[in-house]
Amino acid sequence: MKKRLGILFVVLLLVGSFSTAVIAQKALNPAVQIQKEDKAVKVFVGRPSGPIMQNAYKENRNDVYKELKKETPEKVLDSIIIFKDFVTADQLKDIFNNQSIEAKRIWLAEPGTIGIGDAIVINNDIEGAVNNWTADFQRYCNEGKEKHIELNKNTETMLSATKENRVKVYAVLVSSPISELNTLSNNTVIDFIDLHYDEEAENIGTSKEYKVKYIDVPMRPDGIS
Amino acid sequence: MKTLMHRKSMIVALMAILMFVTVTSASALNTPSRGFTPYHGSTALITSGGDMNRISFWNLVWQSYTFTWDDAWEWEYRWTDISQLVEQPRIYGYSQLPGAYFEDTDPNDITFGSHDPHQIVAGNEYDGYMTFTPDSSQPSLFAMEVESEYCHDYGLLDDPYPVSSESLGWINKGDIQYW
Repeated sequence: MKKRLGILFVVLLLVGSFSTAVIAQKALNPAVQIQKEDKAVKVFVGRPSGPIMQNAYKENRNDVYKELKKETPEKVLDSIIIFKDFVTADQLKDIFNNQSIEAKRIWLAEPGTIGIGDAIVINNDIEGAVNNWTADFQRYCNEGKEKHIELNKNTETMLSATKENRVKVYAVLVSSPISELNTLSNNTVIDFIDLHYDEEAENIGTSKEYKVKYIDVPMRPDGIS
Repeated sequence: MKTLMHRKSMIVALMAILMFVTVTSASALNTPSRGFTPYHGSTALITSGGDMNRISFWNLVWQSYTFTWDDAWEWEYRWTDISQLVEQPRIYGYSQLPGAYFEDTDPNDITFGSHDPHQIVAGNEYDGYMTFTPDSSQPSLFAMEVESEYCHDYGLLDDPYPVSSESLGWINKGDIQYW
């Protein structure tokens, strides 16, 4: 009897292992080819890359904005708006009342703490985006704790900040006709506007039929990278 | 006859154990061998309602490694067709990597990037995640390859381009892996 039970156990183990192996093999097939070359031109926006100084970068991007505003004012482009200081969602209400400027994403942080967050914006509701991100961040922390992960000190600090409304916005990705950005460029809380446009990249994209990808890395007002 | 049965049982048991070990080891991440890859950390493909909706990592730690100002570093989760897994782009993101950026619209990978890896401090811990809406066609089981990429970023076009990379292996949907 014991022997029969033993055989049954082994057979069940074999069937279980085999099924798992088949399923896992399907997902882990090393023969799957991943196309590493995306045929894309990548451009960082929101901060200088390489040896360029911040002020020179801002000046250069400002020139690009002015030039495009003059040449193609009605062209709709994405651009990242970077603030001089951290701002609350409430402070941004007036700015994004303008329905011709669509806020698409915000970047947020607790001033002085390492770690940045970002959240999608729906219907220009910046406050909703901040609240949604906050709730999502807390879920992430809870999931870590459930998995017995010890949250590092910056995550713990951010977690406290989300509970005490200390998380603030420092950049917004918008989409609008270039001419509409004029209302933003005169706003004193705005440091600079960085358009998703780079002439050289666009030319390469056109000639090689590559996609031009703009990657947002907005500078923080507190100097933390 | 009894000896034959006993031998068969032993062989079958051995085969079962071997297959179990193979499957288990296939889903584990390897210990990194390159200095640009964090030597310690954990990562998870978090599920909600049966679908993966978040890619998380906790406590990535580097040993001393000299990134320079013209480097970038990328932490990629690769799969054949990301659009089958999640809706792109992400809904939310978070990262403690210096000069943090996210790439979530590529067809084959979801990437956490560091624009300024020269500011990574050896021994410090770095967390991050991206949250997505799962795609309706998300498979019930899949695995993503986890890759560390050391890149150059000269502030020119085609940057950051990968100079060297290291695969840590695969992680299954719903799993957490430590290394």
